[in-house]
Amino acid sequence: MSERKIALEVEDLWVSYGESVVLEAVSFRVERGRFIGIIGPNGAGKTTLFKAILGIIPVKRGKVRVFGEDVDRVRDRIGYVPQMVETNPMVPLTCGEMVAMGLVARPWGVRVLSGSTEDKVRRAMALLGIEDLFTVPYKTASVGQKQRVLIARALVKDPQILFLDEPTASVDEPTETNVFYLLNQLKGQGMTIVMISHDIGVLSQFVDEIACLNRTLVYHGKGGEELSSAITSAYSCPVDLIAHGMPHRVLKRHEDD
Amino acid sequence: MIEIPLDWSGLGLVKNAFLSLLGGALVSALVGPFMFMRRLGFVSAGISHALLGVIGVALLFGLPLSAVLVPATVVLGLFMGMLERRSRSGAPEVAVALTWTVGMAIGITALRQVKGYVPDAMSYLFGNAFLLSGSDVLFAWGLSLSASLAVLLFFRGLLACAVDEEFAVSQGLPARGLYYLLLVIISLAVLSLVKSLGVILMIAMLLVPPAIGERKSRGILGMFLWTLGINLFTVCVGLWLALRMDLPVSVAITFVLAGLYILL
Ligand SMILES: Nc1ncnc2c1ncn2[C@@H]1O[C@H](COP(=O)(O)OP(=O)(O)O)[C@@H](O)[C@H]1O
Ligand SMILES: [Mg+2]
Repeated sequence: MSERKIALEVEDLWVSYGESVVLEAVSFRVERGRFIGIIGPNGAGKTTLFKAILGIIPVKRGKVRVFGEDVDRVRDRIGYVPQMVETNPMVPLTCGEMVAMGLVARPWGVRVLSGSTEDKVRRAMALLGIEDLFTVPYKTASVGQKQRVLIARALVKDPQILFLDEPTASVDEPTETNVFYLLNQLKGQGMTIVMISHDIGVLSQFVDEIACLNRTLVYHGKGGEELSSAITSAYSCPVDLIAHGMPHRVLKRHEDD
Repeated sequence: MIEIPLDWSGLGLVKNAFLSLLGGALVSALVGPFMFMRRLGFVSAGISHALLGVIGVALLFGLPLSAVLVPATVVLGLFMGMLERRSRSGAPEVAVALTWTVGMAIGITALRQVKGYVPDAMSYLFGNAFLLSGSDVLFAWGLSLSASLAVLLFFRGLLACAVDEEFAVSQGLPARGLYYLLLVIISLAVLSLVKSLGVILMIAMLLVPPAIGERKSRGILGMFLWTLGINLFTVCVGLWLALRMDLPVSVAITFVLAGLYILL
């Protein structure tokens, strides 16, 4: 595999919060233009993995490369949809202004305002079918709408790799399917997509590969029988899987789900 | 306490009061909302109160105020910011309160030792907008303009960090640097308001208008415009009220702001 084809490379990643180790020895690679789904039980360290990759929290040991470079050098090409949709309620932003936050440029946010900002924002919002939210206060939007606003915020600068942390956790099913179709379309245009999701069923219909995380990477591949047993051990509950792109289903839900 | 000035020099003093309050209205309109959005009201009040210690010490040792105040206030602001950041990770807020109160205690102690300055302690506590010299006005405007320009220059970065610091970091913004930059800006703004509004009451001017603005507006631009409008209104009405009722300007302004906060 040639180096230039690798979009994301994580090598021997260790992360801890104080004394407690949350991720240990996580290593994987994602090729350009692939759609990878990351699954794992609650508290497995999925969100932590994203934050470590993006330099939001410090890494204890290990290496992260995006497009073969240090993350700091390629931030303009990275889009990020965080798990938490609640932002600081003291800041009054319209949904349009929230999307424009994705265009804040380095360094130090100094940037000459350009007339094309609004066009870009409206285009990104149109992709998610939320143009009508442009002047609606973000605070008053529903959770599902907020999730789509945050996806638009990540897409507004045309990233080449997109990290999504459970972006469809609170949207209804048709919207979830639409989001997946959109991601699939973006993938078709060459974007690499890394997505954390609880919904193994929908996820497995769209992704090229699946990684299962539980403190460490317990599975990474295209799915199938191997994944089934990996998930069973990771979730410590039986999982019903039909291989090769058909819907998968977690039979017994966790109490804390 | 204050005679309504009718002669030429008196009019000059009213003009100076108005000019310096105008600068105050401008800088508060740009800095206040960030203070409000980042919940830095407590820390900012701490900076302004502890500033009394810096002033007292400078006067006691006969240091030139204009040279000492800016660097000392900036250091004070950065220190307070550091304490606030620590308190977010679970450390108690006592450290901020302690710096605040110890600063004031030092200030009062020092001012008591300075011959002839005892009555002036009052004017640092509550400000004395009607006793500003031309150079006082220039000093205040210099600080207001520096702080305002810094806000405008770094507006998007400061805003992104106020909205969501983690996302800002993911976009490559130096969140920690922008946080401390904001504290430097707050320190300059606080210093620009000391002589006209005093260390105690200026916090109303900085925090109340953005709080109203946040309630009244759908988006970020509206918040800043509301804040600017309220500031200009407050300064004018406050000055008029102070002249009419023979009140210190800072007291009149505080009453106006309280009224607006309840009514709007
Ligand atoms: N800021 C933090 N400080 C301490 N522990 C944390 C923090 N964030 C997450 N954790 C812990 O790290 C573990 C992994 O969390 P997280 O990455 O959010 O899991 P997931 O996203 O897979 O549900 C959990 O046990 C969680 O309690
Ligand atoms: Mg998570």
